[in-house]
Amino acid sequence: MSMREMRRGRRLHHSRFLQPRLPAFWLFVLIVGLTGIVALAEQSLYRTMSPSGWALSWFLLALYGLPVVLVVYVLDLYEREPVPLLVAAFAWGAIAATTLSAIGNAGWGLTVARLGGPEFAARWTAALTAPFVEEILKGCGVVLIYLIARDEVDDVMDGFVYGAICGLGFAIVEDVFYFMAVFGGEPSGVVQGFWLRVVASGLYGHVLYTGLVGMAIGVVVSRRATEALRHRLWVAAGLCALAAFAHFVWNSPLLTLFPAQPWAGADYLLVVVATAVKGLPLLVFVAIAVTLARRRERRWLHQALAGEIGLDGISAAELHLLENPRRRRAARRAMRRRAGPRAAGLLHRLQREQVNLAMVASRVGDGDDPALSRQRAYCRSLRDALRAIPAAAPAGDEGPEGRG
Amino acid sequence: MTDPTPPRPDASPWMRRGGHDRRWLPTLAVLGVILATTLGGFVAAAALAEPAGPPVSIPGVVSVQPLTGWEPAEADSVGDRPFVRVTRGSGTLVAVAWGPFDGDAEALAVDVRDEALDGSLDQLSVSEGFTPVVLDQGTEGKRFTFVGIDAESGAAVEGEVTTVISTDGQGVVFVGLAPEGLLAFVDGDLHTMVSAAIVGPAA
Repeated sequence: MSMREMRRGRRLHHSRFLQPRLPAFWLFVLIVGLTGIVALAEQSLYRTMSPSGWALSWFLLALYGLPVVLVVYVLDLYEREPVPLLVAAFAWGAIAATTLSAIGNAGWGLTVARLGGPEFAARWTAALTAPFVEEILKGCGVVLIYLIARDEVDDVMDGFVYGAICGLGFAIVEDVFYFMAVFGGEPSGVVQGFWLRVVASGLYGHVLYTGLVGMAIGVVVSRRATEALRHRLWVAAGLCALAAFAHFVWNSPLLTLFPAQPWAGADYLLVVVATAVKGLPLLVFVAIAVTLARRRERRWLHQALAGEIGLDGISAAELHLLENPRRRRAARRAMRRRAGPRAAGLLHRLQREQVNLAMVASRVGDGDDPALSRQRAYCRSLRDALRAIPAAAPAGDEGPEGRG
Repeated sequence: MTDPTPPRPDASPWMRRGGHDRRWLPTLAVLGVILATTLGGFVAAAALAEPAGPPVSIPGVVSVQPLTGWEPAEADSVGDRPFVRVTRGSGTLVAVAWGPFDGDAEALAVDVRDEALDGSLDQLSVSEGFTPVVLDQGTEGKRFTFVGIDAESGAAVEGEVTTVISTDGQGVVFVGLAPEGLLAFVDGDLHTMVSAAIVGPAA
């Protein structure tokens, strides 16, 4: 079997974003394209209003967004999501969800005003419309990504990653709007807006809400084999309700401890306290949920690969390393010191393919499946290539045959 | 076109069915949710905008039909110009019989801005230009918005003025008013009531 054939085998579970045979792909493209025209016009208007404030807004938000992307990306321990799909999730949140939400919030805001009158509407519209309109519209983007690349949303963490990235896109564009339209658009206003909406609040908002909605979607679509539909729907409904409730509390006049404007000196610290009161409980909940999801992933990896020990794909020592991201990284660092960067890179590839081996093993069911055999052979070829590098051989992996 | 990808072993029976339904139904469902979420509020708000109670009117000049939640308030006059009012909370719609007017709706809007508003509001700020509007009965008019400080109470107010000239040459001015920041929560009702207003001899 050639290396090319083996590489083809490893693509079994990776879906592309460009899938012109799927209506979901075209719906995604159509909506992002149409709303993109509106979004571009809006950004152009902001740039005209205050070029320096607009540029500063994007610069500051890039400083916030890039680390968040990185953290969310590496949270998925074993199967990093394809970058094109993550870009699509971000684009949906930034372009489609923001534009559609502006329309939806206006419409449902009219309804709230009709039902409750202007005073009630002024206090409660943001809390009664945005949590539902925005979470549904952002969630639709995650569902479309699932429909485009079904195999990529194969556990709860995947749903969290796509949801959080979608929420980040939404948060960034919404922040630009606030900096320009609410905080005045001049650099001083942008900096004040950045303090309130990013430094003080950046850990609590859309990334968490849509991360939860993404987890809900992940629960529904990835646990078919182990949980009844009714149970999955209840869990998903609970996660979505929690996201909407947290968003409701954030937007509502409840628990509002912000100091009176204009702020000066210690007021800026009080702002941090005020946002923490509203947002910290959800952050703690999501941190626990993500930790549990990662443990579940680890258990899944162990179960999927336990039957593979002693075959071509993985040894017990390799599985021991693979299960713990810290040990994996330490092994690569040790390999780099001992045998150089090429060997460390090969070890990295071997570990990635062993995670793919787990996915193939868990899906095909049959131990003699050709796809599984291909993946085992590919792992073995990587291991052989690694051993051929001087000083790389005693890398803590004696190889499956050494274990019997 | 059929999906060449074999179904996953852990796929549900619904997923295994494959083919046309599997690709189209979920996508159409998502589209339906997006449309309902984005546009449903406007449909619901329109359905809730029911006329309520008898219209308030200055006979032969203007008649306004209040919507649900809006109450007729005491009619009065400014100088020799009578007006009628409907209110909801702090939101108010005033319809003023401006009297015979030689110019068009835009000229009337300029008069309202320069005479009436400028004299009664401090720190007046007015939107640029005038937006054309057409009432349901076909009468054309002009609209602008303003923000200012009420000279008597000292409160910040914002509002929206719509001017029309009736077929018999009477100027009619609709002024929607709310405390600053609240106009956005009544302007939907204001637009509906102004659009449905009858001006001229039929009122």
